[in-house]
Amino acid sequence: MTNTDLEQKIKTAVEHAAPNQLESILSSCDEQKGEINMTNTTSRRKSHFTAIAAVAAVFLLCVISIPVLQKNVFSSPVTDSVVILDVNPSLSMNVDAEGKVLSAEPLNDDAGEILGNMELEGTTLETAVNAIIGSMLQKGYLSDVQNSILVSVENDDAERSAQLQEQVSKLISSAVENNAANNSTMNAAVLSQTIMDDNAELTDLAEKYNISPGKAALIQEVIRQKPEITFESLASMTINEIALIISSNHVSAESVTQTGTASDKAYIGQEAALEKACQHAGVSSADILKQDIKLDSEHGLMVYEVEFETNDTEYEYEVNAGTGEIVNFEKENRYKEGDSSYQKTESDKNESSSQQETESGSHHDDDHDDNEHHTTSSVSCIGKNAALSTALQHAGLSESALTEKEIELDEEDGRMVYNVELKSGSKEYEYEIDAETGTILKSEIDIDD
Amino acid sequence: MLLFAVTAPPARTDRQADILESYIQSIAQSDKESLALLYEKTHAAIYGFALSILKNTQDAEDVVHDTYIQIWKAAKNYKPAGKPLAWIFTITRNLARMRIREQSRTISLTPEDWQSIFTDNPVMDHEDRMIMELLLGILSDEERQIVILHAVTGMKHREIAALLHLGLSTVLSKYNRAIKKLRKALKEAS
Repeated sequence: MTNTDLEQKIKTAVEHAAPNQLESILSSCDEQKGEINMTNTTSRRKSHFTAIAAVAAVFLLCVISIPVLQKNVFSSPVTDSVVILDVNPSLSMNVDAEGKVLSAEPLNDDAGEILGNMELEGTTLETAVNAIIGSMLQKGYLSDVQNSILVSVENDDAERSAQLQEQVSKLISSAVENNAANNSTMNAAVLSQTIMDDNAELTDLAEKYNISPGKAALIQEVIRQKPEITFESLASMTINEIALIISSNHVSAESVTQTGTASDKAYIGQEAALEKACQHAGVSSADILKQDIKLDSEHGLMVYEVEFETNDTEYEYEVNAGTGEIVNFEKENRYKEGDSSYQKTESDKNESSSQQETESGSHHDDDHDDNEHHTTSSVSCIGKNAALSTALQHAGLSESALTEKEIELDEEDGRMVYNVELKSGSKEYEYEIDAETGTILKSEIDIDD
Repeated sequence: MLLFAVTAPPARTDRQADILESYIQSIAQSDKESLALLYEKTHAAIYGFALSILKNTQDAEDVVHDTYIQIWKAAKNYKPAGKPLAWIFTITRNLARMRIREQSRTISLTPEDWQSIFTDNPVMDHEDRMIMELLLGILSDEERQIVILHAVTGMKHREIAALLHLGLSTVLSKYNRAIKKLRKALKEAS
């Protein structure tokens, strides 16, 4: 049985195993239609969790409210809204209807450092925001290269929420301007949104990734539009990094209002990233026909994804956004000439892939499809045809005598080899041929009975 | 559903990628017919891929469902780059991983479970069942994903490597090892 036969059997088995779900999918689409303009994603599974949602929401409120009640039990203040600030430090403030801060809680270690011994209880929002922003600037969480802040307001009253959102955003912007005295050019990028305190999905996600519900809501909104980005990869990023990915990928987060621009000063910039990639590829910028550069996160690392095309080749690079180092690259020659052993022009491919920036790693190719011929860039292979003739010669057969043949390029113990399988009558031949030298490394003859 | 089986692997060409992209573009205009067409062309592969991660038929079914809903919702954000399958499988993989995390345990089924599940499926013949049981029983997770992606979608090893964040040589050697294992087991079984 050849690989192709086996693969065909696998394919058939999987196709037969797959249930037909088209109808249920199409009817779910109809449900989705009505929701599509909503700012909160509602998964079809959410209903299963409403009970948990309620419990979780109550639990969250208890955790936040207990200190409030203890400290202010006599003045009986009522928490009107919860304001969450995220930079990388994340903290949450309970605010009453008059805009007084009832309590402030750090949501991560960095925020613990920011809040320190600050006593914000009973102060106005303006004072609290000023103190917090001042501390973030002083400790370097906010700076010229990292200027984005996320404001999330929890209030059932949409109007009140929007009003608070705007108020806090303005307070932050002016606090940044006032406090960054030595650096008058610094501006803040403030993203703001309203979140619902009864959204179990958010609570779950926030808990799972140890981030604030506000940040979870922002990431969820990004993923809703860019499902190829994972929650995980954004959870570990700062708001500034997420804001940059949002703008670079043209995500239009309807539920998020943004003022100011996220700073990309920590990064080398698109132009420089392209230059690095061109340099590595040995391509002059004059030869580039098409290009696309955007910021992305690769396993938590900020990278520029640089794609460009010349006359005959497509390149895809990932360039470390901070250092300009090449993290990953791929190129594809679609119209390669000069391989005399093959007449094909269109399907000839020259691919290389490397995990690191060094070129010393083994470059080799997948060669499964018989209609394609692959060559490698740093190792020259003898080619499939030559491998076949070597095997035929050894077996004492002519190509016309074969009932089956299969030739694959493979890596065996760090060297590239051709696996040649031939069948003629009742005999099966298996060869392993060094792809570089054409030496037969292994031969096996099986008589099928 | 068999009428719409994906064509044989070697036949997968760039043209097919174009066709899938044209479907996705129509889906972005809320065209349900195109979603149905996309479903017909891709659902077996998506199911196979989901199953190879989750090893649970019910979970795999749910993930297939959610994948198409995500495609429906996010199609307008898809940027044609000639890699529609990679986009779709990334969605599937994210959903499958999220499911594993949600449950914080995978309900792995026993060989007996597989047998009864697949025996209940009237479309599957003896050989289909044997192959599915072997895929799920003797291959490692990565081997299974690679073999199923390669066999059912005709994706190139290079594309599979990029999708699974593995090196090309890793994918090649895992693929070869897995195929050898399967072939040996099939020989022994017959």
